Amino acid sequence: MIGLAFLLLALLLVIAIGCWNLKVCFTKGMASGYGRYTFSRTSQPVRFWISVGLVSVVVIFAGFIALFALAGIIGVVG
Amino acid sequence: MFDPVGVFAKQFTPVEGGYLYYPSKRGGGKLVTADEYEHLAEGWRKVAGRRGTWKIVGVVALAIFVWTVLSKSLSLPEWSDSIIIAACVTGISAWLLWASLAPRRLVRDRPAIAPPRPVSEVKRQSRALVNWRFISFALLFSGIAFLGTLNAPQRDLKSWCLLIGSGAMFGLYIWIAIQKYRDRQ
Repeated sequence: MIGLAFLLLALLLVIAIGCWNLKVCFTKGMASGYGRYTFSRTSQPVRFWISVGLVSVVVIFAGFIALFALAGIIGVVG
Repeated sequence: MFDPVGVFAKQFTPVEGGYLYYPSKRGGGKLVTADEYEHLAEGWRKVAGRRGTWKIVGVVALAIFVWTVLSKSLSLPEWSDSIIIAACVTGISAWLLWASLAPRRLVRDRPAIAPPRPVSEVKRQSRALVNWRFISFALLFSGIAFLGTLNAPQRDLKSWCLLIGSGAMFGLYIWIAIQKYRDRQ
């Protein structure tokens, strides 16, 4: 049960990191793409942030799938 | 690698008149009718199936996008982003746990029709559900985190937490792997 709790915490951390990266992608993507917010010459092009955003979405998806499987196991262990 | 729908279904043992479900480690088995089982499985499939999972990811991505636009427009402080992300992850996890405990809520007031299982049997069953790929994933994940933090140049509270947490998880999963290997014999 302790092992599952550790894995649960680790998965929540993975999902949170994915969400944080997605937030960074939106912020930086908007800044470099539209220049609506502070435009930074050092920021990466929009396609870079789109790639990072897609990877983040896949990470969040994988995190949730693992979390669902873990919820099922926790249901059995009680 | 992970099969949420299959793992959910393994909680139920077919018996005469429906399925046997053990709501806790120490409690007896309770009867769930075939119709109720179908209803529970369908509910879980909607939440944890491929389509359900993508729906959740979409909602999370949309929520983060809306929040990003709002926080930039209103010039909100950066710490508010952390709070929103923590609230998002906690809220979804709480909803997920609520959904996974649906069978338990269903049989809460029902009498047990089978005696409680021996603790060793429950442990063996739970280890059987955690497949080798799952264990490999946990070992790889915690091993990388542990070795990565082991060589950290500076030790602050965060790196100590990571070191102890990942080390404990790594050790535990080595133990689980040994136990699972012994179950085979």
